[in-house]
Amino acid sequence: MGVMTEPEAGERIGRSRDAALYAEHAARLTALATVLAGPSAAEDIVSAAVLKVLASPSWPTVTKPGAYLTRAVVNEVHNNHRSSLRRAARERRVAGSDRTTDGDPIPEIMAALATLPLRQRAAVFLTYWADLTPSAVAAELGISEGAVRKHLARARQTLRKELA
Amino acid sequence: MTDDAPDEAELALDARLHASVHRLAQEAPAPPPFPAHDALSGRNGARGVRPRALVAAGALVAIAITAGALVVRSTGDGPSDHVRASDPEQAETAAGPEGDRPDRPFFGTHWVMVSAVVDGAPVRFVSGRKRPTATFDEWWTCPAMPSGQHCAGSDGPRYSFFDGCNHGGGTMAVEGRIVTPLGMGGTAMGCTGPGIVAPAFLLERTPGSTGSATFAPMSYEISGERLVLSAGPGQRLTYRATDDPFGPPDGAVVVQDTTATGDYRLVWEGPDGHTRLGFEGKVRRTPELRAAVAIDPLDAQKVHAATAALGWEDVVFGLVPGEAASAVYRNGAGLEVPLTVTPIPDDPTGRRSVHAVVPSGDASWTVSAYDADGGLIETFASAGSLSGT
Repeated sequence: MGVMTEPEAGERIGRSRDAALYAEHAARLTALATVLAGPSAAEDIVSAAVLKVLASPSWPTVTKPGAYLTRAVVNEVHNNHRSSLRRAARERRVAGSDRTTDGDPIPEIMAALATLPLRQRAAVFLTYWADLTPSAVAAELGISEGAVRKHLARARQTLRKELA
Repeated sequence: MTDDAPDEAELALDARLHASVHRLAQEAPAPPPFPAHDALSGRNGARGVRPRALVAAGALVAIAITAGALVVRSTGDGPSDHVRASDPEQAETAAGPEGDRPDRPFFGTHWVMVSAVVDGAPVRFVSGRKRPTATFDEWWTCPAMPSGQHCAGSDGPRYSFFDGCNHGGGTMAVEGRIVTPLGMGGTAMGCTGPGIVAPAFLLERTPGSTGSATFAPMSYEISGERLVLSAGPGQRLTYRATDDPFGPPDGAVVVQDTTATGDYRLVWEGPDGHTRLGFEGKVRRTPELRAAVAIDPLDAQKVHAATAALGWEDVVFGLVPGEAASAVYRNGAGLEVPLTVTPIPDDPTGRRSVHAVVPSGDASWTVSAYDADGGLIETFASAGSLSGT
């Protein structure tokens, strides 16, 4: 057995930490990617985002890795997969429009969610899926709390029209 | 109800939003595995399948005629400073915002790989290295061949690819949205490093066979500019359509054209002291590098013209003086092919480029340039083969 050098040992520790972090956040990131761009693109998005994060020279110094990964997924969607969910939205509209009782998802809302601008969609996901407060959403997305409130208000306004 | 009481409609919206987001999130697939160590460290070159059926030959060739020397580069192995990487992100930018674009046709579109998951692990691509590509032809017909030569292919659906290192392709069967490669030929450059992936990852070797192989069927799905090839769980290649099969050129594109067997272009780089006319070819059939050069009899280092194989056609290209109005290629059998004369932008010496598609494999040929009155300016003669250089 060869002697492990200091850099090799450091690399192994780093990878071990990265793997643990990934295991902690993978399901949430995949759900986020699914809401942002649809299930068929989610795996690609998470894979690409994680690879970019791990390759980033600033990654080892990141203090909030969860938020960093969230932003990486949002950026990946922004760069490469913007149209995926809009397409899925059209399909949902075509697929059916049966309204259900209050509290149940309805196709119109799910389709309308898909048409929201990316940051609004991300804010909605973090608010209604992850149950984060506006200030926590702001920290996660790296934007101001005011901006989060604005995104949520506009998203709700759009979605309200779908129910009218 | 007071002003402070929650609005019923707002509460209903909250409930529906909550339920809708959770329903959407429930559609999430299983998270992809943590990237394998080799995917991170750039040691995943083995992902590029190297089937024994591949034949050794040249691939995408880049040949440059410079002011003083001939440069031949095979762009198969690693990044080239001549044929720059085709950057899908740049291609996307060039294509403008994606929006809700109509689906690109599967057949006939040049696809550039943007991501890949092979054996369950995402593949890392290296910035600056040429991305893998793929093209699928619904029906391909053997072109008419020059006298004495026969078309080695067979009519039918075909695929061709660049895996980040090698070019290849073969026939395929098509049933609905399922394509199954039936055979494969191509180059066998010994590349190493990350980012080498071909549709050939679908190759399934028959244990104990002597080179025979079967190919897994792959399904394709197109969403706008995006193509996903899948051969089951953990085997997925994602491409983006591009209108430029070459990627961004290093210099000014003097000519870009397509023949029956491949796309090619001439690129002029200058006038910075490294001026040169480069040939870049992309073949859609088993390629063969073959270039004969015409050397100035007074200066053995000065190259004026060359031929480069493009499938089973050759392209002759070169530089002639600015006063040249026409040029002619002549082979040993007496065949004459007029060359297209094209001004070169920003060449301080005012030279012009000449090019034409000529019969494949002419070992002996000349290029003669003439002025507007038909007077001979100069003649270059071929001086051997570059094969193996």
